[in-house]
Amino acid sequence: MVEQIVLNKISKSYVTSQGQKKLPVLNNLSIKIQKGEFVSILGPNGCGKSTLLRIIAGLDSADSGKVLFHGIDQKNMKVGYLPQSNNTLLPWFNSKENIAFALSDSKSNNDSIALNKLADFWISDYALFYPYQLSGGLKQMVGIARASAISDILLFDEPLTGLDQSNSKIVENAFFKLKDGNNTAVIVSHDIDTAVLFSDKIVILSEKPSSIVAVISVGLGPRRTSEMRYSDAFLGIRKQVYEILTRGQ
Amino acid sequence: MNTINKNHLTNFNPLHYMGAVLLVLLWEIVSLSGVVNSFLFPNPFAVLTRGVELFFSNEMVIDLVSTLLKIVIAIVFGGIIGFVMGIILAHSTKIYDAFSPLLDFFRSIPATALFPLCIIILGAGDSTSLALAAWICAIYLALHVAKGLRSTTQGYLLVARSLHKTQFEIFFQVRLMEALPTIFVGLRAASSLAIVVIIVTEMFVGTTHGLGKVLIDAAYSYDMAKLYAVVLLIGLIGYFLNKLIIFLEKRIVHWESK
Repeated sequence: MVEQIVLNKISKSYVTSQGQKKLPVLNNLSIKIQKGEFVSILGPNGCGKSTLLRIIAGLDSADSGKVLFHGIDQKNMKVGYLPQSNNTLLPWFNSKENIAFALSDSKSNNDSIALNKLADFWISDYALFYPYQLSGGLKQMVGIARASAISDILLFDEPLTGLDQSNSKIVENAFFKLKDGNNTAVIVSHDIDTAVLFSDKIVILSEKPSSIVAVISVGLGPRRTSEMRYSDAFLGIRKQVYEILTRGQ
Repeated sequence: MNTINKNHLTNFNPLHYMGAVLLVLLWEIVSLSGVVNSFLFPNPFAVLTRGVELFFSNEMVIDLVSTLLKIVIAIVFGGIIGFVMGIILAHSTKIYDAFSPLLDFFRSIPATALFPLCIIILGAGDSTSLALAAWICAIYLALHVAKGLRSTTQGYLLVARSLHKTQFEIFFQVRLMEALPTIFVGLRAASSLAIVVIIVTEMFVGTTHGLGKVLIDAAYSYDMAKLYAVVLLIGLIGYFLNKLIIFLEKRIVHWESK
């Protein structure tokens, strides 16, 4: 079976501000992701998690190694990417227009797809609302709807950061929906609970230059609910991840 | 969006006019008191009467139209030139670093200091007025367009690039849109300066028509009521032009300051 995403020996260095010295960030990372799998990437701050996500999204290039989609090196693969920021929705577009902006069909088709996507995520009522009229959670929901309108391969950078409990709950439901829809996702996070709750697999990176410290399978089954975070299985995996992340500190 | 703007338009606040009413009352009281020379400070009623008389006698209509046309032409042409210059400046950091200090320097030269040079090159007349006003508009717009285009939020660019948007789409749907609030700031400053330059040049560079010329003629003939009436008219032009730009800004850049 061909994996949907394969990261094959990805290495990346940054040139320092002095212009000469290279600072290694990612060191020979290889990850295989199956169709329908949710994979979270955890690691210390500054270890290159977001850089790795940008490389998968085609927004940054690796110094060596390849990203394969369906076994092929596709430079222009369109993926649904939601960066780590409160400013990912364009403020001059309403929710519907923000999703339609991501599509490249005729205007009427784009609008119709956008409205369907908003309905899929239970936010049709906010179609004509501008980002400044939405809460943090709803903004993130529109961002998720936009990402899923583009592709079934989704990349999320800290999707729950900065959200309060009620907004997190809204976004959690969107992730459960995506997971039920057989999408494939790579989630960069610093939050262990988020990673365990959403993922089938958790990849833990070391300090810079990052290499893979551990890959943990999350055996919580394909269907997830918020209540799972109180189960013994969840807490066991959480403890295991926490111990790996804090090992040696 | 429409609701928001309609509310803005229909929001009548009597306090906005209170200052003007009080000023006119104070002016009337001072005139009646005899404390000031009534020749130098005619009462507001005399000024208003003279203004209405000038307007309806068609004596000043051609001057008003001439000044308004010059202001509009200077803003449109200067604005277009400044817009293109701003895009070129914003195109690369090297171009911006090389030329923005030069534009900043030109901005620092008072337009009035360029009168003699322009008169020698273009001759006395409307062409000098228009050239100087368009020049100042172009410089202000260029600097603001460049500044706006160079400060695009990285998150927006990342999203647009991840969607494989073309450079054309990124420019018009992302960078230009985010630059609009800054461009409007430049447009407001440029339009205010365009009025100043047009009026002042009409006074001194030998134009045949214009409110600046009417103003200086009224001063030379000691027609004080006319002088005050024209000053007030010029003030109204500036005030309503600014209001028009703010109205357009609120309609177009509705997301700003929300």
